[in-house]
Amino acid sequence: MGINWTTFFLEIVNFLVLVWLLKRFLYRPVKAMVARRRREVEARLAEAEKRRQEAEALKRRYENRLADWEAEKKRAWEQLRQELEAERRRRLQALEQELDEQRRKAEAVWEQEKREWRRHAEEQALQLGAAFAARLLERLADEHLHHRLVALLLEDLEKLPAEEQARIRSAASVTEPIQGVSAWPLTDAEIQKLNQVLSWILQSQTEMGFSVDPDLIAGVRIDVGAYVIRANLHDELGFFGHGHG
Amino acid sequence: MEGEIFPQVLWRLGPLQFTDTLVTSVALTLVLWLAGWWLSRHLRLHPGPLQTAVEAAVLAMEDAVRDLVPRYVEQVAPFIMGLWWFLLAANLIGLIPGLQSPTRDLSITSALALLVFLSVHWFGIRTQGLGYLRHYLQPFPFLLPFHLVSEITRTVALAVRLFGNMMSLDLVALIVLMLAGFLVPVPVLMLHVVEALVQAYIFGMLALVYIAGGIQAHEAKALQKGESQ
Repeated sequence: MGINWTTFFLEIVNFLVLVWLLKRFLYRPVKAMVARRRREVEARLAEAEKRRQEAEALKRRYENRLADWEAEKKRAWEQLRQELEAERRRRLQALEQELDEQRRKAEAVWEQEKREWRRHAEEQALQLGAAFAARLLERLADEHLHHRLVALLLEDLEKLPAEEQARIRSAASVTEPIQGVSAWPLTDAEIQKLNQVLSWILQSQTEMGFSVDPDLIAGVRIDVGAYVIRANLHDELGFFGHGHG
Repeated sequence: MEGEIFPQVLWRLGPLQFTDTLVTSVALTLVLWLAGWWLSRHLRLHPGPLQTAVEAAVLAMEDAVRDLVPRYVEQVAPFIMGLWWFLLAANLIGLIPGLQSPTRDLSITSALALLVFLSVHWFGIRTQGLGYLRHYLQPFPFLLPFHLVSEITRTVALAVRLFGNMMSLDLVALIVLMLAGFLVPVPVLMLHVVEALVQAYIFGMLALVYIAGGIQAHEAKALQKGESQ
Protein backbone atom coordinates (compact mmCIF):
# COMPACT_ATOMS: atom_id res chain seq x y z
CA MET A 1 0.00 0.00 0.00
CA GLY A 2 2.99 2.24 0.54
CA ILE A 3 5.26 3.90 -1.99
CA ASN A 4 7.70 1.64 -3.77
CA TRP A 5 10.49 4.03 -4.60
CA THR A 6 11.92 1.85 -7.30
CA THR A 7 8.57 1.82 -9.04
CA PHE A 8 8.16 5.52 -8.34
CA PHE A 9 11.41 6.65 -9.94
CA LEU A 10 11.39 4.12 -12.75
CA GLU A 11 7.83 5.13 -13.55
CA ILE A 12 8.98 8.74 -13.84
CA VAL A 13 11.66 7.66 -16.27
CA ASN A 14 9.26 5.34 -18.04
CA PHE A 15 6.67 8.07 -18.49
CA LEU A 16 9.18 10.63 -19.69
CA VAL A 17 10.40 8.08 -22.22
CA LEU A 18 6.80 7.45 -23.24
CA VAL A 19 6.19 11.16 -23.70
CA TRP A 20 9.27 11.41 -25.90
CA LEU A 21 8.31 8.33 -27.88
CA LEU A 22 4.75 9.47 -28.43
CA LYS A 23 5.93 12.90 -29.42
CA ARG A 24 8.44 11.37 -31.82
CA PHE A 25 6.34 8.53 -33.26
CA LEU A 26 2.75 9.66 -32.92
CA TYR A 27 2.21 13.33 -32.29
CA ARG A 28 4.63 14.71 -34.87
CA PRO A 29 3.80 12.26 -37.69
CA VAL A 30 0.06 12.69 -37.17
CA LYS A 31 0.42 16.45 -37.02
CA ALA A 32 2.61 16.42 -40.09
CA MET A 33 0.10 14.25 -41.93
CA VAL A 34 -2.79 16.47 -40.90
CA ALA A 35 -0.85 19.56 -41.94
CA ARG A 36 0.05 17.89 -45.22
CA ARG A 37 -3.57 16.94 -45.79
CA ARG A 38 -4.64 20.47 -44.91
CA ARG A 39 -2.10 21.85 -47.37
CA GLU A 40 -3.33 19.36 -49.90
CA VAL A 41 -6.94 20.37 -49.31
CA GLU A 42 -6.00 24.05 -49.38
CA ALA A 43 -4.02 23.47 -52.55
CA ARG A 44 -6.99 21.66 -54.06
CA LEU A 45 -9.31 24.39 -52.89
CA ALA A 46 -6.96 26.97 -54.35
CA GLU A 47 -6.76 24.94 -57.53
CA ALA A 48 -10.53 24.58 -57.56
CA GLU A 49 -10.89 28.31 -56.96
CA LYS A 50 -8.37 29.00 -59.70
CA ARG A 51 -10.22 26.67 -62.05
CA ARG A 52 -13.49 28.25 -61.04
CA GLN A 53 -12.08 31.69 -61.81
CA GLU A 54 -10.66 30.38 -65.07
CA ALA A 55 -14.02 28.84 -65.85
CA GLU A 56 -15.70 32.14 -65.01
CA ALA A 57 -13.26 33.99 -67.23
CA LEU A 58 -13.78 31.41 -69.94
CA LYS A 59 -17.51 31.69 -69.50
CA ARG A 60 -17.34 35.49 -69.74
CA ARG A 61 -15.09 35.19 -72.77
CA TYR A 62 -17.46 32.78 -74.45
CA GLU A 63 -20.42 34.96 -73.54
CA ASN A 64 -18.65 37.94 -75.07
CA ARG A 65 -17.78 35.83 -78.07
CA LEU A 66 -21.37 34.66 -78.32
CA ALA A 67 -22.52 38.26 -78.13
CA ASP A 68 -19.99 39.16 -80.83
CA TRP A 69 -21.19 36.23 -82.90
CA GLU A 70 -24.77 37.31 -82.36
CA ALA A 71 -23.96 40.86 -83.47
CA GLU A 72 -21.94 39.49 -86.38
CA LYS A 73 -24.84 37.22 -87.29
CA LYS A 74 -27.25 40.14 -87.16
CA ARG A 75 -24.92 42.20 -89.34
CA ALA A 76 -24.53 39.31 -91.74
CA TRP A 77 -28.29 38.77 -91.78
CA GLU A 78 -28.85 42.47 -92.41
CA GLN A 79 -26.22 42.49 -95.13
CA LEU A 80 -27.70 39.35 -96.67
CA ARG A 81 -31.18 40.83 -96.46
CA GLN A 82 -29.97 44.01 -98.16
CA GLU A 83 -28.15 42.00 -100.83
CA LEU A 84 -31.23 39.83 -101.35
CA GLU A 85 -33.39 42.95 -101.56
CA ALA A 86 -30.97 44.52 -104.04
CA GLU A 87 -30.81 41.27 -106.01
CA ARG A 88 -34.60 40.99 -105.92
CA ARG A 89 -34.95 44.58 -107.15
CA ARG A 90 -32.30 44.00 -109.81
CA ARG A 91 -33.95 40.79 -110.99
CA LEU A 92 -37.38 42.39 -110.86
CA GLN A 93 -36.09 45.29 -112.90
CA ALA A 94 -34.44 42.90 -115.35
CA LEU A 95 -37.65 40.90 -115.48
CA GLU A 96 -39.67 44.02 -116.11
CA GLN A 97 -37.24 45.05 -118.83
CA GLU A 98 -37.42 41.57 -120.30
CA LEU A 99 -41.19 41.65 -120.08
CA ASP A 100 -41.22 45.06 -121.75
CA GLU A 101 -38.91 43.70 -124.41
CA GLN A 102 -41.09 40.62 -124.82
CA ARG A 103 -44.15 42.82 -124.89
CA ARG A 104 -42.59 45.05 -127.52
CA LYS A 105 -41.53 42.01 -129.49
CA ALA A 106 -45.00 40.51 -129.13
CA GLU A 107 -46.52 43.81 -130.19
CA ALA A 108 -44.12 43.99 -133.13
CA VAL A 109 -44.91 40.39 -134.05
CA TRP A 110 -48.56 41.14 -133.61
CA GLU A 111 -48.23 44.24 -135.78
CA GLN A 112 -46.25 42.25 -138.32
CA GLU A 113 -48.82 39.45 -138.26
CA LYS A 114 -51.55 42.03 -138.52
CA ARG A 115 -49.84 43.68 -141.46
CA GLU A 116 -49.20 40.31 -143.01
CA TRP A 117 -52.78 39.31 -142.42
CA ARG A 118 -53.95 42.62 -143.83
CA ARG A 119 -51.62 42.25 -146.79
CA HIS A 120 -52.79 38.68 -147.26
CA ALA A 121 -56.38 39.80 -146.98
CA GLU A 122 -55.73 42.59 -149.43
CA GLU A 123 -53.98 40.19 -151.73
CA GLN A 124 -56.85 37.76 -151.45
CA ALA A 125 -59.26 40.60 -152.00
CA LEU A 126 -57.25 41.72 -155.02
CA GLN A 127 -57.07 38.20 -156.31
CA LEU A 128 -60.78 37.80 -155.71
CA GLY A 129 -61.33 41.14 -157.35
CA ALA A 130 -59.02 40.20 -160.21
CA ALA A 131 -60.74 36.87 -160.59
CA PHE A 132 -64.08 38.58 -160.47
CA ALA A 133 -62.88 41.23 -162.93
CA ALA A 134 -61.31 38.54 -165.13
CA ARG A 135 -64.53 36.56 -165.21
CA LEU A 136 -66.44 39.75 -165.85
CA LEU A 137 -64.00 40.96 -168.50
CA GLU A 138 -63.86 37.56 -170.11
CA ARG A 139 -67.56 37.84 -170.61
CA LEU A 140 -67.39 41.51 -171.61
CA ALA A 141 -64.20 41.36 -173.72
CA ASP A 142 -64.64 41.27 -177.49
CA GLU A 143 -62.71 42.08 -180.59
CA HIS A 144 -63.65 45.72 -180.42
CA LEU A 145 -62.08 46.00 -176.99
CA HIS A 146 -59.08 44.20 -178.35
CA HIS A 147 -58.60 46.67 -181.13
CA ARG A 148 -59.24 49.51 -178.79
CA LEU A 149 -56.41 48.23 -176.54
CA VAL A 150 -54.11 47.96 -179.55
CA ALA A 151 -55.00 51.53 -180.48
CA LEU A 152 -54.23 52.68 -176.95
CA LEU A 153 -50.87 50.84 -177.11
CA LEU A 154 -50.00 52.59 -180.30
CA GLU A 155 -50.89 55.95 -178.79
CA ASP A 156 -48.80 55.22 -175.74
CA LEU A 157 -45.80 54.03 -177.75
CA GLU A 158 -45.88 57.15 -179.84
CA LYS A 159 -45.87 59.23 -176.65
CA LEU A 160 -43.21 57.12 -174.91
CA PRO A 161 -40.52 59.24 -173.26
CA ALA A 162 -37.04 59.17 -174.67
CA GLU A 163 -35.59 57.42 -171.63
CA GLU A 164 -38.09 54.59 -171.97
CA GLN A 165 -37.38 54.36 -175.65
CA ALA A 166 -33.64 54.09 -174.87
CA ARG A 167 -34.35 51.36 -172.37
CA ILE A 168 -36.32 49.42 -174.96
CA ARG A 169 -33.52 49.82 -177.47
CA SER A 170 -30.94 48.60 -175.01
CA ALA A 171 -33.08 45.57 -174.12
CA ALA A 172 -33.68 44.66 -177.72
CA SER A 173 -31.59 41.77 -179.02
CA VAL A 174 -30.06 41.98 -182.43
CA THR A 175 -30.24 38.27 -183.03
CA GLU A 176 -33.53 37.52 -181.41
CA PRO A 177 -36.61 38.66 -183.39
CA ILE A 178 -39.40 40.70 -181.79
CA GLN A 179 -42.28 38.40 -180.96
CA GLY A 180 -45.86 39.47 -180.28
CA VAL A 181 -48.84 37.60 -178.86
CA SER A 182 -52.39 38.77 -179.51
CA ALA A 183 -55.72 37.72 -178.00
CA TRP A 184 -57.45 38.27 -181.29
CA PRO A 185 -55.97 38.27 -184.74
CA LEU A 186 -54.51 41.70 -185.61
CA THR A 187 -55.48 43.57 -188.67
CA ASP A 188 -52.84 44.29 -191.30
CA ALA A 189 -53.14 47.96 -190.53
CA GLU A 190 -52.52 47.33 -186.88
CA ILE A 191 -49.50 45.15 -187.67
CA GLN A 192 -48.09 47.71 -190.00
CA LYS A 193 -48.66 50.50 -187.57
CA LEU A 194 -46.97 48.51 -184.71
CA ASN A 195 -43.96 47.75 -186.95
CA GLN A 196 -43.66 51.42 -187.81
CA VAL A 197 -43.82 52.52 -184.21
CA LEU A 198 -41.33 49.90 -183.01
CA SER A 199 -39.02 50.67 -185.91
CA TRP A 200 -39.24 54.33 -184.90
CA ILE A 201 -38.47 53.42 -181.27
CA LEU A 202 -35.71 50.96 -182.09
CA GLN A 203 -34.48 53.22 -184.83
CA SER A 204 -34.23 50.27 -187.16
CA GLN A 205 -36.47 48.44 -189.55
CA THR A 206 -38.41 45.87 -187.59
CA GLU A 207 -40.68 43.02 -188.61
CA MET A 208 -42.59 41.37 -185.77
CA GLY A 209 -44.07 37.90 -185.74
CA PHE A 210 -47.47 37.56 -184.08
CA SER A 211 -49.27 34.63 -182.64
CA VAL A 212 -52.75 34.37 -181.11
CA ASP A 213 -53.32 33.49 -177.46
CA PRO A 214 -56.94 33.79 -176.26
CA ASP A 215 -55.73 33.71 -172.66
CA LEU A 216 -54.78 37.32 -173.05
CA ILE A 217 -58.56 38.00 -173.21
CA ALA A 218 -57.97 41.20 -175.16
CA GLY A 219 -54.90 43.15 -176.30
CA VAL A 220 -51.31 42.18 -177.11
CA ARG A 221 -47.98 41.39 -175.47
CA ILE A 222 -44.75 42.19 -177.30
CA ASP A 223 -41.38 40.77 -176.21
CA VAL A 224 -38.52 43.07 -177.22
CA GLY A 225 -35.58 41.10 -175.92
CA ALA A 226 -35.74 41.37 -172.16
CA TYR A 227 -38.32 44.16 -172.37
CA VAL A 228 -41.99 43.12 -172.39
CA ILE A 229 -44.63 45.55 -173.65
CA ARG A 230 -47.96 44.57 -172.14
CA ALA A 231 -51.27 45.86 -173.33
CA ASN A 232 -53.70 43.05 -172.61
CA LEU A 233 -56.33 42.30 -169.99
CA HIS A 234 -54.72 39.13 -168.82
CA ASP A 235 -51.51 40.80 -167.73
CA GLU A 236 -53.32 43.85 -166.37
CA LEU A 237 -55.58 41.65 -164.26
CA GLY A 238 -52.53 39.73 -163.17
CA PHE A 239 -50.83 42.94 -162.08
CA PHE A 240 -54.04 43.96 -160.33
CA GLY A 241 -54.31 40.61 -158.60
CA HIS A 242 -50.74 40.95 -157.26
CA GLY A 243 -51.28 44.45 -156.01
CA HIS A 244 -49.42 46.20 -158.81
CA GLY A 245 -52.40 47.57 -160.56
CA MET B 1 -6.95 -11.67 -2.51
CA GLU B 2 -4.21 -9.34 -1.40
CA GLY B 3 -1.97 -10.70 -4.15
CA GLU B 4 -4.53 -9.80 -6.78
CA ILE B 5 -5.32 -6.31 -5.53
CA PHE B 6 -2.04 -4.88 -4.32
CA PRO B 7 1.16 -4.61 -6.38
CA GLN B 8 3.47 -7.56 -6.13
CA VAL B 9 7.23 -7.46 -6.21
CA LEU B 10 8.25 -9.76 -9.00
CA TRP B 11 11.97 -9.68 -8.41
CA ARG B 12 14.58 -7.77 -6.47
CA LEU B 13 17.97 -6.39 -7.49
CA GLY B 14 19.75 -5.20 -4.41
CA PRO B 15 17.66 -2.39 -2.96
CA LEU B 16 15.57 -2.22 -6.14
CA GLN B 17 12.18 -3.93 -6.12
CA PHE B 18 10.49 -4.46 -9.46
CA THR B 19 6.72 -4.71 -9.16
CA ASP B 20 4.17 -6.07 -11.58
CA THR B 21 2.68 -2.58 -12.00
CA LEU B 22 6.06 -1.25 -13.15
CA VAL B 23 6.42 -4.12 -15.59
CA THR B 24 2.91 -3.50 -16.88
CA SER B 25 3.65 0.21 -17.16
CA VAL B 26 6.82 -0.38 -19.14
CA ALA B 27 4.98 -2.89 -21.31
CA LEU B 28 2.30 -0.29 -21.98
CA THR B 29 5.00 2.17 -22.96
CA LEU B 30 6.38 -0.36 -25.40
CA VAL B 31 2.93 -1.14 -26.80
CA LEU B 32 2.05 2.53 -27.20
CA TRP B 33 5.41 3.19 -28.82
CA LEU B 34 5.03 0.25 -31.20
CA ALA B 35 1.46 1.25 -32.00
CA GLY B 36 2.57 4.83 -32.64
CA TRP B 37 5.52 3.67 -34.73
CA TRP B 38 3.35 1.28 -36.75
CA LEU B 39 0.73 3.95 -37.28
CA SER B 40 3.31 6.56 -38.29
CA ARG B 41 4.59 4.10 -40.91
CA HIS B 42 1.10 3.64 -42.32
CA LEU B 43 -0.17 7.18 -42.38
CA ARG B 44 -1.94 8.01 -45.62
CA LEU B 45 -3.37 11.15 -47.14
CA HIS B 46 -6.65 9.33 -47.49
CA PRO B 47 -6.96 7.78 -44.02
CA GLY B 48 -8.67 4.55 -43.04
CA PRO B 49 -10.95 4.23 -40.01
CA LEU B 50 -8.10 3.61 -37.52
CA GLN B 51 -6.01 6.53 -38.77
CA THR B 52 -9.11 8.73 -38.77
CA ALA B 53 -9.89 7.80 -35.16
CA VAL B 54 -6.30 8.36 -34.00
CA GLU B 55 -6.06 11.68 -35.86
CA ALA B 56 -9.39 12.78 -34.38
CA ALA B 57 -8.19 11.85 -30.88
CA VAL B 58 -4.86 13.64 -31.32
CA LEU B 59 -6.52 16.75 -32.72
CA ALA B 60 -9.16 16.73 -29.98
CA MET B 61 -6.43 16.54 -27.34
CA GLU B 62 -4.50 19.29 -29.05
CA ASP B 63 -7.61 21.46 -29.24
CA ALA B 64 -8.19 20.95 -25.53
CA VAL B 65 -4.63 22.13 -24.85
CA ARG B 66 -5.03 25.01 -27.32
CA ASP B 67 -8.14 26.22 -25.52
CA LEU B 68 -6.14 26.78 -22.33
CA VAL B 69 -2.62 27.60 -23.54
CA PRO B 70 -2.91 28.65 -27.17
CA ARG B 71 0.64 30.00 -27.32
CA TYR B 72 2.33 26.85 -25.94
CA VAL B 73 0.48 24.05 -27.64
CA GLU B 74 3.61 22.53 -29.16
CA GLN B 75 5.37 22.40 -25.78
CA VAL B 76 2.50 21.32 -23.53
CA ALA B 77 0.48 19.04 -25.84
CA PRO B 78 2.95 16.10 -25.92
CA PHE B 79 3.03 15.88 -22.13
CA ILE B 80 -0.75 16.08 -21.69
CA MET B 81 -1.27 13.70 -24.61
CA GLY B 82 1.17 11.27 -23.06
CA LEU B 83 -0.80 11.39 -19.81
CA TRP B 84 -4.10 10.74 -21.57
CA TRP B 85 -2.85 7.92 -23.75
CA PHE B 86 -0.99 6.25 -20.90
CA LEU B 87 -3.76 6.58 -18.34
CA LEU B 88 -6.35 5.42 -20.83
CA ALA B 89 -4.36 2.31 -21.59
CA ALA B 90 -3.31 1.77 -17.97
CA ASN B 91 -6.85 2.11 -16.63
CA LEU B 92 -8.38 -0.16 -19.29
CA ILE B 93 -5.75 -2.88 -19.26
CA GLY B 94 -7.20 -4.22 -16.02
CA LEU B 95 -10.18 -5.46 -18.02
CA ILE B 96 -7.98 -8.01 -19.70
CA PRO B 97 -8.01 -11.21 -17.67
CA GLY B 98 -4.69 -11.85 -15.96
CA LEU B 99 -3.56 -8.21 -16.18
CA GLN B 100 -3.86 -5.47 -13.56
CA SER B 101 -4.10 -1.74 -13.97
CA PRO B 102 -0.80 -0.07 -13.03
CA THR B 103 -2.80 2.89 -11.79
CA ARG B 104 -3.99 0.85 -8.81
CA ASP B 105 -0.43 1.34 -7.54
CA LEU B 106 0.06 4.52 -5.54
CA SER B 107 3.72 4.56 -6.58
CA ILE B 108 2.69 4.90 -10.22
CA THR B 109 0.05 7.58 -9.65
CA SER B 110 2.41 9.43 -7.28
CA ALA B 111 5.12 9.41 -9.93
CA LEU B 112 2.69 10.82 -12.46
CA ALA B 113 1.44 13.41 -9.99
CA LEU B 114 5.00 14.42 -9.19
CA LEU B 115 5.67 14.80 -12.93
CA VAL B 116 2.62 17.04 -13.17
CA PHE B 117 3.84 19.07 -10.22
CA LEU B 118 7.29 19.45 -11.76
CA SER B 119 5.89 20.17 -15.23
CA VAL B 120 3.82 23.03 -13.83
CA HIS B 121 6.94 24.72 -12.59
CA TRP B 122 8.98 23.67 -15.59
CA PHE B 123 6.58 25.32 -18.02
CA GLY B 124 6.11 28.26 -15.67
CA ILE B 125 9.82 28.96 -15.43
CA ARG B 126 10.30 28.21 -19.12
CA THR B 127 7.72 30.78 -20.13
CA GLN B 128 8.36 33.44 -17.50
CA GLY B 129 11.81 32.73 -16.20
CA LEU B 130 12.54 32.56 -12.50
CA GLY B 131 10.15 35.45 -12.02
CA TYR B 132 7.50 32.79 -12.17
CA LEU B 133 8.31 31.87 -8.58
CA ARG B 134 7.18 35.29 -7.47
CA HIS B 135 3.60 34.21 -7.66
CA TYR B 136 4.17 32.25 -4.41
CA LEU B 137 4.66 35.60 -2.72
CA GLN B 138 1.54 37.17 -4.20
CA PRO B 139 -0.63 38.81 -3.29
CA PHE B 140 1.20 38.79 0.07
CA PRO B 141 4.49 37.11 1.00
CA PHE B 142 3.02 35.61 4.11
CA LEU B 143 0.79 33.48 1.92
CA LEU B 144 3.83 31.47 0.78
CA PRO B 145 3.14 28.56 3.18
CA PHE B 146 -0.43 28.32 2.00
CA HIS B 147 0.74 28.27 -1.61
CA LEU B 148 3.18 25.49 -0.77
CA VAL B 149 0.53 23.48 1.08
CA SER B 150 -1.82 24.01 -1.84
CA GLU B 151 0.76 22.72 -4.29
CA ILE B 152 1.50 19.66 -2.19
CA THR B 153 -2.11 18.82 -1.42
CA ARG B 154 -3.32 19.12 -4.98
CA THR B 155 -0.46 16.93 -6.12
CA VAL B 156 -1.22 14.37 -3.46
CA ALA B 157 -4.91 14.61 -4.29
CA LEU B 158 -4.11 14.02 -7.92
CA ALA B 159 -2.19 10.86 -7.07
CA VAL B 160 -4.58 9.53 -4.47
CA ARG B 161 -7.71 10.26 -6.51
CA LEU B 162 -6.58 8.17 -9.41
CA PHE B 163 -5.14 5.48 -7.18
CA GLY B 164 -8.24 5.33 -4.98
CA ASN B 165 -10.69 5.15 -7.82
CA MET B 166 -8.85 2.49 -9.74
CA MET B 167 -8.09 0.46 -6.63
CA SER B 168 -11.68 0.67 -5.42
CA LEU B 169 -12.99 -0.43 -8.83
CA ASP B 170 -10.72 -3.44 -8.85
CA LEU B 171 -11.63 -4.20 -5.28
CA VAL B 172 -15.35 -3.95 -5.85
CA ALA B 173 -15.13 -6.11 -8.96
CA LEU B 174 -13.17 -8.72 -7.04
CA ILE B 175 -15.54 -8.71 -4.09
CA VAL B 176 -18.59 -9.00 -6.33
CA LEU B 177 -16.89 -11.79 -8.24
CA MET B 178 -16.15 -13.66 -5.04
CA LEU B 179 -19.63 -13.17 -3.64
CA ALA B 180 -21.86 -13.50 -6.72
CA GLY B 181 -19.88 -15.61 -9.06
CA PHE B 182 -19.13 -15.61 -12.75
CA LEU B 183 -20.70 -12.97 -15.07
CA VAL B 184 -22.31 -11.03 -12.24
CA PRO B 185 -19.47 -8.45 -12.09
CA VAL B 186 -20.01 -7.60 -15.78
CA PRO B 187 -22.00 -4.42 -14.96
CA VAL B 188 -19.23 -3.46 -12.58
CA LEU B 189 -16.72 -4.01 -15.34
CA MET B 190 -18.81 -1.80 -17.62
CA LEU B 191 -18.64 0.81 -14.91
CA HIS B 192 -14.92 0.18 -14.86
CA VAL B 193 -14.68 1.22 -18.50
CA VAL B 194 -16.52 4.47 -17.87
CA GLU B 195 -14.56 5.16 -14.73
CA ALA B 196 -11.27 4.44 -16.50
CA LEU B 197 -12.10 6.95 -19.22
CA VAL B 198 -13.32 9.53 -16.74
CA GLN B 199 -10.31 9.18 -14.46
CA ALA B 200 -7.88 9.43 -17.35
CA TYR B 201 -9.68 12.51 -18.60
CA ILE B 202 -9.79 14.10 -15.14
CA PHE B 203 -6.13 13.45 -14.42
CA GLY B 204 -4.99 14.84 -17.77
CA MET B 205 -7.37 17.75 -17.61
CA LEU B 206 -6.30 18.70 -14.07
CA ALA B 207 -2.67 18.49 -15.15
CA LEU B 208 -3.47 20.76 -18.07
CA VAL B 209 -5.31 23.21 -15.83
CA TYR B 210 -2.42 23.27 -13.36
CA ILE B 211 0.12 23.86 -16.13
CA ALA B 212 -2.11 26.53 -17.66
CA GLY B 213 -2.40 28.14 -14.24
CA GLY B 214 1.38 28.18 -14.03
CA ILE B 215 1.76 30.09 -17.25
CA GLN B 216 -1.48 32.00 -16.92
CA ALA B 217 0.14 35.24 -15.75
CA HIS B 218 2.46 35.25 -18.73
CA GLU B 219 -0.42 34.45 -21.10
CA ALA B 220 -2.49 37.25 -19.60
CA LYS B 221 0.34 39.72 -20.09
CA ALA B 222 0.85 38.55 -23.67
CA LEU B 223 -2.87 38.82 -24.41
CA GLN B 224 -3.04 42.31 -22.87
CA LYS B 225 -0.04 43.31 -24.96
CA GLY B 226 -1.67 41.90 -28.11
CA GLU B 227 -4.94 43.71 -27.41
CA SER B 228 -3.16 47.01 -26.73
CA GLN B 229 -1.43 46.73 -30.09
